[in-house]
Amino acid sequence: MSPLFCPWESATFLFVSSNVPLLINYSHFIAIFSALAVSLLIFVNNPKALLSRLFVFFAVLFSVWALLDVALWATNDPAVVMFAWSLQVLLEPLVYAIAFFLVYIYFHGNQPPLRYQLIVTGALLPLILLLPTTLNLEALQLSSCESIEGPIAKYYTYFLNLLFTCMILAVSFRNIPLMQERKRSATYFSIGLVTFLLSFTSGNIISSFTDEWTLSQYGLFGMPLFAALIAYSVVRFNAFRAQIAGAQVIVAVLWALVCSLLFVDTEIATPITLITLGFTSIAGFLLIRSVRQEFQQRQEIEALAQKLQRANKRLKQLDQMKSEFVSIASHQLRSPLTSIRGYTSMLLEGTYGKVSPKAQEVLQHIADSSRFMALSVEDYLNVSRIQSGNMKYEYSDFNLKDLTESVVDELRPQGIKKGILLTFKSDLNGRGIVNADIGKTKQVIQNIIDNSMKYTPKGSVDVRVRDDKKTKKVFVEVTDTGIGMSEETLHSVFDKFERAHNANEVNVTGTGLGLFVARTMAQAMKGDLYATSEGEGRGSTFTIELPLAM
Amino acid sequence: MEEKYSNTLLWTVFILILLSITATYYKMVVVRDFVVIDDLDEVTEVEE
Repeated sequence: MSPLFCPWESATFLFVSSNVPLLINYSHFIAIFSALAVSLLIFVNNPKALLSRLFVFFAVLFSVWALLDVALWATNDPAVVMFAWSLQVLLEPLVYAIAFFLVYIYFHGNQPPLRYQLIVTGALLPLILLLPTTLNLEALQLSSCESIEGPIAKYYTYFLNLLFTCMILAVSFRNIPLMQERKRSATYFSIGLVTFLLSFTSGNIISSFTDEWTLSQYGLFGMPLFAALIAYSVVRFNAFRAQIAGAQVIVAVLWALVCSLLFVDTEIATPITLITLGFTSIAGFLLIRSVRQEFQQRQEIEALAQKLQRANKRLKQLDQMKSEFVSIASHQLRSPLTSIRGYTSMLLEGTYGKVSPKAQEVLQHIADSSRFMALSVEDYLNVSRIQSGNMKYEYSDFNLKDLTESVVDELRPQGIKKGILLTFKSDLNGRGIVNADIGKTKQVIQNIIDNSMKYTPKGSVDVRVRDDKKTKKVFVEVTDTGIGMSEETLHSVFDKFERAHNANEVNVTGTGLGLFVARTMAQAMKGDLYATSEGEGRGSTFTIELPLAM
Repeated sequence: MEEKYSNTLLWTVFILILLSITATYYKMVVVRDFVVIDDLDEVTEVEE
């Protein structure tokens, strides 16, 4: 027996038939176009993101649903109607489920936890398993060419839609720590999605119970609206990192809407024009507002950039002036100091006749103070040179062991005067040749030994020079029995103007620049300077490290 | 571990959906096993 067909002409290419009202073509193809355009632009902008890929899947499922709907209007074959109708029943809750995943990922940045996935898949399972049965679609009515829905299609799918909508709302309104702008963008996204889902389903629900299926087509106008909201969210908040794409989508949807008017029958031209006008007004308003905001922001940024440029120029000038001032002031101070030190030394040596013991004591004070002042000025000058990048290094090969030994010999009288035993030992015989600036290296060694002696009220300062053939480095280790350092001090002792907090216990004067200068010099010569200590009151070890000459 | 279970779950559901669609296609389109309520005054018979 030949199969029965519905009483109208058959469709060409499944979708084309005079039985399809123009409004159906208008609403469905615009919706498909909007969904695919938005998803493709988002995907092209960030193809690797899970959200982008899922969004494409969402748009494709929705588009298949809409195409099946057109096919349902066009066909007169009951078999096609039953199959397409069944698929639609399955696709609708699937679109909802994916919408839930989308919102979850948008808010949290990752997939929902397993328990949520179990709820979603568990709820979908009866629908999937009973899809081909009469519990889904009972029969087909030939006069209207419509399926008679069973409990699954009529009630269970709507329960699923409600469940997934509740889950979407729960995710959207939970207090998630997001940035203000991102939060607003995510809220726009979920409001857009829920609006679309509600408009998508509300028509179907009404039609399902009233059997008036022409109403369902209006639901699809939610899709262009949703696309516009997504696009707005993109333009306004740079969601999906596709700002320009968002504006393109708005314009593309507007273009499609206006173009479609050309193909509309005069009878339904008025409602179609009204719908298009409404959409154009909303999209146009959103677009203009975002462009205006963008323009205002750009103006503000430009003004700020100019201010910053001026401030930066002024800061550079001030910095230059400061460096020049320090340099000039230090030089000016150095020359008179040299005279003071020279004449004091000559007076102490008796070049200008015998000096009384009382006056000698005073002269000694002047000599010590001027020496400290000269060292301080040298430190300031060095810091100034380092900061302005004018510190020059003259490299040559020399024996570090011999240099260290000579420095120790120079400083030994000072140690004896203070009652400190200054010792030197090294097992390097002729080895320990380094390539560095000899003057600067001497300054570093002097600085470290001097520093150790300053902070050692009694006991000894031991200087040892050794090498390590594996790392091809030479080390000068200065170990004292002084006040030691806490863990905290060890971290900051090489910073500018930093001194150990227990430094005052030994009544030492200093600028807090010596170690900073020494470390900067050592590092500039491809070496290093570091300190270790077992704690306060337990002495310290300073190690200068320089690479062996090749 | 949770990701592994999650992937297995999603793939299972995906395969079930494909099987269900195939079964529906077979039932509705291939064997046309569904009730048609013929409420037309005249039955339109179209020759294949």
